[in-house]
Amino acid sequence: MRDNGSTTVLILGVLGFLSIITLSTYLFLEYSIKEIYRNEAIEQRKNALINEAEKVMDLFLNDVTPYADSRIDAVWEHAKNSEDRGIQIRLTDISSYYGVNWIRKEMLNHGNLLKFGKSSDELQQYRWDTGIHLNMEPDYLDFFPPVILNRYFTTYNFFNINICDEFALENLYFVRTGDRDKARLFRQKIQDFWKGSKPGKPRMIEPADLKSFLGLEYARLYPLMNAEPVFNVHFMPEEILSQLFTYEYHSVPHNVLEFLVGGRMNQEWSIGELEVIIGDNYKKTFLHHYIGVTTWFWQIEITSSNDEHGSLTLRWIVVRVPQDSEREDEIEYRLLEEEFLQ
Amino acid sequence: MSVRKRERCGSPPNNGGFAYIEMMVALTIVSLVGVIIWQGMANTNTLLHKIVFHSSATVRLIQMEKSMRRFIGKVRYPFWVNDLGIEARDGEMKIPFYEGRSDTFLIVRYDEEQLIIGIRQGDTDEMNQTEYFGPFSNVKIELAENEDGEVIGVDFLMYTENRLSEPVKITARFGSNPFWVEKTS
Repeated sequence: MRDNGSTTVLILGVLGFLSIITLSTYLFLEYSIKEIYRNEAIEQRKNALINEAEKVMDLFLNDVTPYADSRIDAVWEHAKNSEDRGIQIRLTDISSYYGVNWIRKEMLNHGNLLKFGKSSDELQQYRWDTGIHLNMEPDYLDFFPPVILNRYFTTYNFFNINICDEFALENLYFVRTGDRDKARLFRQKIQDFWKGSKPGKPRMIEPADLKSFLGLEYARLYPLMNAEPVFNVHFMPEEILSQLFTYEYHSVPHNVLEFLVGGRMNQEWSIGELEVIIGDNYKKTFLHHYIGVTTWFWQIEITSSNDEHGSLTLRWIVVRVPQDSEREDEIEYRLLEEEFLQ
Repeated sequence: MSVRKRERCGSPPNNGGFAYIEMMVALTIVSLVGVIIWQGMANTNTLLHKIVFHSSATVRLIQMEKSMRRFIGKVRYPFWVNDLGIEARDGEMKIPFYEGRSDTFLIVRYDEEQLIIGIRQGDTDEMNQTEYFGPFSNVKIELAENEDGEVIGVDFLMYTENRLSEPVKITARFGSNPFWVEKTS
């Protein structure tokens, strides 16, 4: 009898042990499989968001007015309609702001944009010493209040040779060519060119003149350094538009500002129409280098919500490639940044 | 007619002996069952070990992939840059522009069966935020390129311990890339 009892206990013990091992293995495997499925689900959602972003890019590429970007373009209608499908699309023009890496001293002073106690000379020296920055914060927080920095500035725009600080252009030249001496000579060349300007009648390098001005380094500098208008009048902050119109030599009447700000939500202007609206000073001054109708850098954010996994956002930053006269009909965008936010 | 019960020849029956045989048979059966169970447990244990090994390796790979993508994704090349400035020597890859800063480097290294990723500031040798992954019998670290031959991130080709399974390739992309790179002479 005692033998039979021991056998039962032994078998029960073995079964219990096996059960514990099986259960723990099952729980572990269940966790592993869940983790694998979760990752697969996230990958699928990421791919779906990328497909949505590609649709947005298709609409940019097939814009019926490719040289003017405004809120009446088809892509905005598409973004609005996507909400019905549970997808949020947010488009932001991130280049129609002053370039914190290149804004000229006179514009800084005119807009009264610097922190109290900081001078535009100090900012110029800081930029010269530390080079071109990708992060506005914390790199420029010593010079600008955070609110001003985020409202008026960006690091995402091209360097228009006519409106950039000459030391910033020297820095860019050095970054692109690796030759500090040539970069210094280039800066002096620009300063010499500007010496021929008269008050209210600046000498300017137009797109057609750019290739000859940049010379042998054109291929390394263009299109980062170009002569295209930096801001899109349809999206730029009203305050910047106002500062540019009230600048000493620009002097554009206030009613023009009101007309543009009032009409841009539901109207699109071509560059020719903008010239007519602003008047003679548009072409005679730097205004036509600051203000245009094209957006160069877009931020596209696409968010999908899911009950089980929460929301997932894809953030793309794309850049439109400026065309030189030889390839005028080609519209091309490039993806600069991709990030998923959960 | 009465039948006389025939007496059995030899020694009288022994009930106790039968009990012994019975017990021995039972013990033999229990032993056999025990051996079979033991064998089964051993096999099960090996199988479970394999399953757990592969599952945990898969989960570790997924977690490692996430971690590596997070690290590499924080390499943000400004769009104006013309030189990626990546240095690869002594089994170490040094990538600038971690979080968009030219003086902050992401270090990727394979050392003593471990894949090591960390951050280095300026010219110092000290690494911060260091993470270790492995063990791997070998890891190949290469620059990942797109179809146009432009560098877009880092490829990791990892061979598991004792090369029990196929190598795993993970391509981790930089958070942002230069607009275009024009080779300097």
